[in-house]
Amino acid sequence: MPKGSSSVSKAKDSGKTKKLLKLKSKLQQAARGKIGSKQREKRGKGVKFDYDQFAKQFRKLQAGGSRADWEVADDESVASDEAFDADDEEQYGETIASIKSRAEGAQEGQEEREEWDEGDDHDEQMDASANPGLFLDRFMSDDIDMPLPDQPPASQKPAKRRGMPSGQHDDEGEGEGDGEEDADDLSKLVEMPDENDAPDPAEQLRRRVYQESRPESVFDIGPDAGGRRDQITTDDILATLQTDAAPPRGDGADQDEEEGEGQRSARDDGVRGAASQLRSELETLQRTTAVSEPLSEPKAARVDRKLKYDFARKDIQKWLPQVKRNRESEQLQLGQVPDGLNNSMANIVSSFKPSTDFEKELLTALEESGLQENDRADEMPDVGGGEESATLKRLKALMFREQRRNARLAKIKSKTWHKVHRKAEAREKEKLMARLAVEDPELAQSIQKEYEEKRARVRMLERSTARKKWARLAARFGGKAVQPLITEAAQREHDEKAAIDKIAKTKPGNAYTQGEDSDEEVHLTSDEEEEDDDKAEGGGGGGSYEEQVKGKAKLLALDELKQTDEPLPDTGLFALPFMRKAIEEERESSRREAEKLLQELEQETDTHPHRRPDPRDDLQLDQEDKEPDDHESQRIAAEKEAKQAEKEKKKKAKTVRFREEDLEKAREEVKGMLGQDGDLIMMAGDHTHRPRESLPSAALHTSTSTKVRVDQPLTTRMPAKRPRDEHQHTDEQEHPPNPWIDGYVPPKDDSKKKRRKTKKGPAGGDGDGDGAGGEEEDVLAGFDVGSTEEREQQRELLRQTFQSSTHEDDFVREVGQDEDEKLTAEEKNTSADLPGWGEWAGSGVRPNRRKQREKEVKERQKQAAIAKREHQVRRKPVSVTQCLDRKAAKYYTTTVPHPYQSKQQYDRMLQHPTGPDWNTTAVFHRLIQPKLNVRVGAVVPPLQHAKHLSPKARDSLLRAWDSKAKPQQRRTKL
Amino acid sequence: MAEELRLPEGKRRLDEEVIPIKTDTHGAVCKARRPPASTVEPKLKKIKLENAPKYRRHQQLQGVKRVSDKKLRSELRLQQRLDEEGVKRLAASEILLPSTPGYLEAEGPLERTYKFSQQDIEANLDVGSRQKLFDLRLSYGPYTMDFARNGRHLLFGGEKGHIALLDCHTMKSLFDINVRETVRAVQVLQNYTMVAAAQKKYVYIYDQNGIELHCLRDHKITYRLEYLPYHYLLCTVGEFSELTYRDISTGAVVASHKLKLGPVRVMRQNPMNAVLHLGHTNGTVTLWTPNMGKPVVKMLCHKGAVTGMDIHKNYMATAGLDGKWRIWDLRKYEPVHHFWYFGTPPSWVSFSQTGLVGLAFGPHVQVWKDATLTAKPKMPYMEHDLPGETIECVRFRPFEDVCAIGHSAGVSTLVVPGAGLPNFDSFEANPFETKKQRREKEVRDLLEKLQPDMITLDPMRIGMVDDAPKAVILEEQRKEAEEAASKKKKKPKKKMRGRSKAGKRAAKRERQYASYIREKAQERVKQQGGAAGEPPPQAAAAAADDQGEVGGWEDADMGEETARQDEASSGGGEKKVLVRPRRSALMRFLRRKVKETKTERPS
Repeated sequence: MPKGSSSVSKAKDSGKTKKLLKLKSKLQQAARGKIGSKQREKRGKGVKFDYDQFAKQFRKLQAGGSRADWEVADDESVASDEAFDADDEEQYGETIASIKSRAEGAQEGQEEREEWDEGDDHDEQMDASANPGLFLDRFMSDDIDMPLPDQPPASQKPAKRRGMPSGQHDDEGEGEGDGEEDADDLSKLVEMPDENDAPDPAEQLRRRVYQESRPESVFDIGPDAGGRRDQITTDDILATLQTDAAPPRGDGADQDEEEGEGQRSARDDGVRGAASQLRSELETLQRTTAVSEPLSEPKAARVDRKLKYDFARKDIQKWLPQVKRNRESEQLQLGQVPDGLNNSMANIVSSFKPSTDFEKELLTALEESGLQENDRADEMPDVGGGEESATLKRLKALMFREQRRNARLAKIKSKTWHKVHRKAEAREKEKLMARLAVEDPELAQSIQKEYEEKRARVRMLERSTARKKWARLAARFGGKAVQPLITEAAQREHDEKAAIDKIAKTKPGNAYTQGEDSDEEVHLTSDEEEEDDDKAEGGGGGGSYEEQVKGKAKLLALDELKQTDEPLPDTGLFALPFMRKAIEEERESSRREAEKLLQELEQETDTHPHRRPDPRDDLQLDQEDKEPDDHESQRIAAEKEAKQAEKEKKKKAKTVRFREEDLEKAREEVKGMLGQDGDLIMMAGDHTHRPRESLPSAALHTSTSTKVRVDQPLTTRMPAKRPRDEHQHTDEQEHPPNPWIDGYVPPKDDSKKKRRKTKKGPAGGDGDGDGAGGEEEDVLAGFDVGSTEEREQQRELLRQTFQSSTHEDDFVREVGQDEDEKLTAEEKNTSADLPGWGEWAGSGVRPNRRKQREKEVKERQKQAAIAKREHQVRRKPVSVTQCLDRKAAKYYTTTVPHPYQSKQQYDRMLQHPTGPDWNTTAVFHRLIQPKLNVRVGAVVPPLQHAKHLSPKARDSLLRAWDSKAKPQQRRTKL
Repeated sequence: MAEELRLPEGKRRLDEEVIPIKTDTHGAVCKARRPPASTVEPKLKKIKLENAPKYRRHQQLQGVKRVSDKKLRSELRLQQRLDEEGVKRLAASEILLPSTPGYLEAEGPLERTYKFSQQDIEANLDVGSRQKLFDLRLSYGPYTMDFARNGRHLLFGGEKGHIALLDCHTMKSLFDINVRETVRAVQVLQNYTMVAAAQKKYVYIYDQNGIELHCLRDHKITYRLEYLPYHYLLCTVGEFSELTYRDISTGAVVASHKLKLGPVRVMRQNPMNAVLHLGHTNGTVTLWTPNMGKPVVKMLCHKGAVTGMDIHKNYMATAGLDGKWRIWDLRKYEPVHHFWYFGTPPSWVSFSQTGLVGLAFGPHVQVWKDATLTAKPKMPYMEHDLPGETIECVRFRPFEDVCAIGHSAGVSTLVVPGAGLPNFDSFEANPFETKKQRREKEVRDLLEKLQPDMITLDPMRIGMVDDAPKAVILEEQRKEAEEAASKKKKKPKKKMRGRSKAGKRAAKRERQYASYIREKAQERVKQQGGAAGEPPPQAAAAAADDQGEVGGWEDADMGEETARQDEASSGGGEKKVLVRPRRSALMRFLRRKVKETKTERPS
């Protein structure tokens, strides 16, 4: 057939006509009792409605665009109907035979009929284009088409057809030409009401839709078609049936013509009964009125969708319990968990099987020798023997295992193996070369040459690398010549370190007797070194103490001078130029010092030949009075004395420097610096006469150095409280000089004020604390002179040092400032009015009262707020910043993550840590366990509905599948 | 259809075999696998564990019942259940810990634990414990000290320049050097292989052999060092009142705050949240994080300078010059107890791992027990005196019942029963760690390093929902988007006829930059104008003056003369104004003149 669009519709039409004809003939056949009993049997079978197919067809029908495809398919199937195969012949032999006989009888009319068929096709085409609902007619007529007598009823898919649901309208019927099938369908159609005894609601719905969407029945194709003799209506069919029941008188003339006389006579009563039944059914069918107009496409689609949804919902219901259970379970474990490697001894022994040749050989040897365990066990069933055999078995298994392991290890070749291998290779090579030299000297020579070249190149490379290395070393250390120097230096360093260690380890008394670096010692230590000196001069004690001291000092100085004249070391660490230089410098400085000291000493002896005896001399005398008994103790005492004396001397040496004239000088300096009148200086001078112990020792020194010691941490060094007796003392002193402050001026007020203040001091604290507080107040009052800056400094210093009530006030103020800053900033941000706008300016302008009032109110409110805040801060002196830490904001989420509905829920989730550091192992594993755990390579069983397959069967099926497609990898490789 | 499924070829015979997958009657796989045998823990009976609250970090979530989403509800319930179980198991697993803590206990009502002398205790000690005690007489005191986090190494520094690192197990010194300048503080960093010392001027970092690795010149005259191990931050504070955070893994200064609170001699970290607590001479304690330029909390602790401080869990102990030392609750910022000391104010306050408080004042050391409990202890737990010496520093050795004191005559140790945690977590701090373990830990710690901006007062907030006002968040998002948009590189158009020459392009770039700067300047002028009522005249004039010029703008500090003028006009308020430097000779001359006249005039 041609494949053009017109020809397609033509083909369809012709097909339809054919089918109608087929239907007709079938009906006749039915009337004649020709319907096969086989087919009749099938009617009762309830087969499920294949909805999908139905829907597909339905859609095809409705969609105009895809109509052609369907028609083509139809066409083809019609064409294929002509293929008649043996099966069919076998099955429908009887019918075919009758048809054949008929065909032979009416040979001449065939051509004519075909011509007519074609003519009819043209008409049908017109109808189809006019009325799209026609296809549905065709769809309907599918089931009731009949084979043309001349076309053999060929069934392409009998099995499939059989499997098809009989209760439904088979929409796949693309013009099947098999008469039996059609007859069957027809009968189904006819019997439909009976078949569906308890029709499903969905089924009913479907049917309704089906009917609704059927625009026209096959029986009312069109008025113009009715005039044709081959146009069939229900009435026609009914008429046929009536005629069948009565003597044969039908309006289908050609049928009558076709039927032979002999056939007509074959009718019997049974058939008539069936026909009447069929007729009645057809009549009911006729009464069901079809909707005249088709649904619009979207509507139809909607209906379609709803239908589908209902079906799907119903279908999916059955999974619900399973899905629910799966969802609720903590973890789904798919695939078996393999048992851990059973490496127990028993397992190894029991599962031993000889695999290698050696093992097998050994086993056979054992068997031969009759040492096989089984035999032995048979032979000697006693307990001891059994034990022995077990041991043997175990030993054997273990031995083999070890051997296998060793073999495996040996396979992984070691370095030694390679070494040996290489050597062997070389030997082999040599041999080969020797042989080659005999056989083919030229080749051997060339090979040899090549080889040597290679060697030479390698050697060159090695040499160059070595040179490079050397060069690098030389560049770093100054050549090879420097190497010994380096090592020497290293050695020296080491020796030095050892010496220092040695010194450190020996007792401190002996440490400096070695006299290696004396100048160093003089700087480092004070007492010990002097002790030594004392020892040296311990015996000699002539002259007054002062003289003695002076003499010693002189001696020391001279010694110093002498030492400086010593030659500089030529070897060792100190021979290095920079060391020498340093030593020289050191010596120079010490020489200068010594000379200066000598000079001073001489001066002193000149200026003060008769000095007031030191009270300490008495002390010494006292000590001397107390003479120990025995000699040993005497010696110790002497030593002690010497030490004491030396200490005194040292002190003196310091004090000697600051005798009267020095003090005078210092006073001058102080005066100059303070710019104060002389009275105060005198006062200070008076103070100096007081025992020095009462003052911090720095007091004196500051007068000369006029420096505040800053590097000492004040807070820790200055005691907050002083012992009571010292309080007494300060009272006496009235105003102790503040050693820490340069411009200290004693307060002008007197003790009255101070006493009052001390009384006023906070009551809660203990005496000492209070005293300190009071004192501080007083002192503060004393510092109210000088510039504001200085005053502030003093206050700060004092506040750091003592307790005071100002801390709280300061804190409140600070907090207030912070808050105020914030407030003003806020105000600025919020206030919309510009200064000067909306106001009058100039002279004589009255202030805006309202505004003023507003201002006042605001001010009052502000004050109230401040007071409140102050109260709060005083009650709880804490200020927590209100600033947002936006730098950390990147670690927050801006929205609550799914599925949490509130911040609390999400935050709560984070509260308990997940990590193994904060949880026990089991809990940790539980917390991180995946919902679904699938072993690698395991078959994930699909959800199986119980009605389809029992779990057992399903599992075994899977097992089978699994064992067939065995995965190579059993574990996850990480 | 339903009668049979076809099996693969040749597999029909295996039908009898059944895979033991646990399924229900419907064939669904339903059974959860049992956890591997190694992780199975016995189900706990319903007993109340006394120590459970210690491990509880979560709160009961209210209103789970009202959650409408079924799935979420069940998830929340499961979460609660698991967390509860986790806490229970942690509490129950305490029995597995090998050691238990113990304290000195007095017999009878008259005996006092603080009267036990060290000699008495030592006499009754086992050999192992006795070996941990030593007394180093050193002449470079007073000494400050620091223990490595695992308690194995002790670093001490004498004020006169002696620094030494001692292995407390072998009692061998790893290095022993004299730096010949003042040493004010020492600090062991991540582990004993790096230590820091605050010396006279700068902070130095040494390795375990005493070799100087770094000299940190940014940290000047430092008084206190602190190290935040999880953030790799070395924090210093000192004379110039500048708190500096330095990342020792990268070497960068991550934050530096000018405190403006005078020299700071007291600093400790809160190990819970890595917030630094600073004690000041005005009696306040301020809390700092790298993120904020202002203290996150400021509290007045003493009516005198703060001399010592330490933090343990939610409690802080401070000592001040006002004669008291106090315990504070850091959740409420309220005092819990206060105690009186006698004599010299405490130079050091220190908490042990178990919460004992050690105080060093003058020649005395006191250890107080249960000071953070509601019931105030009446007397110290232990006492020790070193007559004639000044004790500078008290440090409890981690995981040992030993306390080290640094004093003017050296370093000594005391026995303080119950001071150290009896069990250590070898992944956290292992005193017996091997070289390999140490190295592994170094790597792991680096990988787990926290960022400095994660330091907040409440570390639990990290990862949670931002509770800033919506407006703030939106504004930030907008800015971010803008930045991202501006960062997008535009491909320069290639223009013809010489308009894309290098010179032209450069000029264009300059012009663009100038306009950008002008924009900024105008913005700033506007801001200042908003603040002062009207824009400063010079800035406005300058802005007007230089409209046309290209590249003539500089974001310079105020010129001297303008600064003076400004000072004169607005009373010394410092303002940063954009000024174009004037370079003409006349101007230079004038400026010099002005300067001279100013300097001549007495102030």
